[in-house]
Amino acid sequence: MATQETTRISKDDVLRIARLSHLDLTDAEADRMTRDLGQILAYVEQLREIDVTDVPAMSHVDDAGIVPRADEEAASLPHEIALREAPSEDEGGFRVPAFVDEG
Amino acid sequence: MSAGEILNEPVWRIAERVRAGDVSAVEVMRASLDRIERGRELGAFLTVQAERAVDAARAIDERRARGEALGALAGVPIGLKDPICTKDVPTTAGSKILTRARCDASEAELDPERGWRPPYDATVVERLAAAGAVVPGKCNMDEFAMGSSNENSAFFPAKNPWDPSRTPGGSSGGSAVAVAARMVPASLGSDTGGSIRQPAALTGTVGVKPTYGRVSRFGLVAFASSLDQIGPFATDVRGAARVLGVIAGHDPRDSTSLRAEVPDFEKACGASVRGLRVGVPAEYFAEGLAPEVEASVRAALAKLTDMGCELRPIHLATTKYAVATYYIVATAECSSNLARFDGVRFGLRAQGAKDLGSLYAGTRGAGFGAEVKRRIMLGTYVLSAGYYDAYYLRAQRVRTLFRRDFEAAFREVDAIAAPASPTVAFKLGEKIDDPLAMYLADVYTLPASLAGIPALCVPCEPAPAAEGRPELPVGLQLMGPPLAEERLFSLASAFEAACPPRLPPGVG
Repeated sequence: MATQETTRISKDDVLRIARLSHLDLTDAEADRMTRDLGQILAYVEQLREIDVTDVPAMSHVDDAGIVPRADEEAASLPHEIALREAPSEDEGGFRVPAFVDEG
Repeated sequence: MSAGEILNEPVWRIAERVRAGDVSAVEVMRASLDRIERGRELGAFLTVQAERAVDAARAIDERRARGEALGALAGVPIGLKDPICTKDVPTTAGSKILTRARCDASEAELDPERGWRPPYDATVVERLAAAGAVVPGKCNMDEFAMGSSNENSAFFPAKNPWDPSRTPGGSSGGSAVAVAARMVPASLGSDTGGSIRQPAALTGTVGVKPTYGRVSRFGLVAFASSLDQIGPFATDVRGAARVLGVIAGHDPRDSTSLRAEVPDFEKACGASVRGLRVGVPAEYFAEGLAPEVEASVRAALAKLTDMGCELRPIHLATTKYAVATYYIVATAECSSNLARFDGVRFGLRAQGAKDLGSLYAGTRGAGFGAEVKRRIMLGTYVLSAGYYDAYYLRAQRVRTLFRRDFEAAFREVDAIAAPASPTVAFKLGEKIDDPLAMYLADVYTLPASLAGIPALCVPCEPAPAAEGRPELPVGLQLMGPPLAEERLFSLASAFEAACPPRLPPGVG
């Protein structure tokens, strides 16, 4: 059942998707990913055989309808609990590197 | 009986004995902890909370001594798959990224005890505790529930007690092993595309994927939110029914949880199944089904006939597209859900990052394993500009066809019977380098997940020993219309009476 055929996805495509995914890949990982994604994409091509004209998309199962809960005030996590697993904290917040170019 | 023998009893009988004072909850828990310790090489548990569990068991015994009423799971040890949040107790979801480790730590250096400590319990954990269940530890799994062999655990693989050179299946492999080896009479797993049913089939245990929305997912680390569902493993059908009865029901903290009334699932066990129309889908007995699995499942179908069920051949024409559809829908959702693991608020963090982007990418590059990266990448690709319509939107439309196929089938039949896995348990390492071959292990469980319908797996006759492999379990999968779990329990318990569950060699 498995197909060894690969679809056209280049290593550059893989590196672009890795950037979008916020994933550092080593060179060896990028090579392997190019091969694996190529095979998987070739396999999923079979969905093109199916006629889906006028078939609505199903994003989730809706057996009863989703009813949001009432928007009521409720206790939230205590500050120190929210912070306790932080790899790095500072002045009561999560410490992160600069993300605004101040130059 | 000796202390360990209590664990050869099913969930409901253990609870009865604890309530009657025949055995104490502490004795049951010590027996469970002893079996977990002696079965360590099977890798069923990532962490064990022995002291906490004995204390909780003692509290049950004290309540009994005070004459207080005890719950439906009084003193019953229940293992929890590790994406299920436990307050202050390490929860890793099988991933390095949810541990406080060095980025360059090797698998052998990783310690799940240093996992993320959630600030709250999942709803299912609260409900188990309220019913008197006691959790000895957190069960092994494929990282973020992505895998079919438990080999994608960041820590160590789980091994099949029927043959430790083989996988127990996945992703809830540890939960299945814990029950198969009678370390606990029941456990919870999660099933996104078959992660309860496939390991149940491969380990000879009962596993239930309830209707989507039957059980609250509050406190379950999300993989693919439109598919994820928590459900029980147990040593017998009635035990699984009791556990599901405890954890099911609406939860205001999960807007996708259904408001439907929770019936008495246990009462459905033992009900007559005479006259039920059972559909047998031709597409589930096609190319790729191992002959030894087919023989066992066909023998099970014959037993259903003996019990008075009417077998009807049916067609589920979309079946062959299940793997392609699922691996687009599920990866798209995972690429979004796993965006939260960024090294800022919990878990692993890349050191020395100069800006936020490299902190994210460095942390995720070091913290995720190969399969999780592959799925995030695939999901990002199918959602990206220029590909969204061709892949993601098309897969969502095909998903509607799966739903319609089942709706049409359930106008003709009351339930559907089929294999749960195309093969018996495969060797560790056999498929780990071929992602597509691994995905195809899920072909028979994916359709019910895509359609959101309930399905369970109950052991049938094991495949006899052959060609250097021992006797190995085979599972019968039963599927029903939305919210028809009771009918599935009736069928499964009638079948179980005709085909009693077996124990792996050396267990019990």
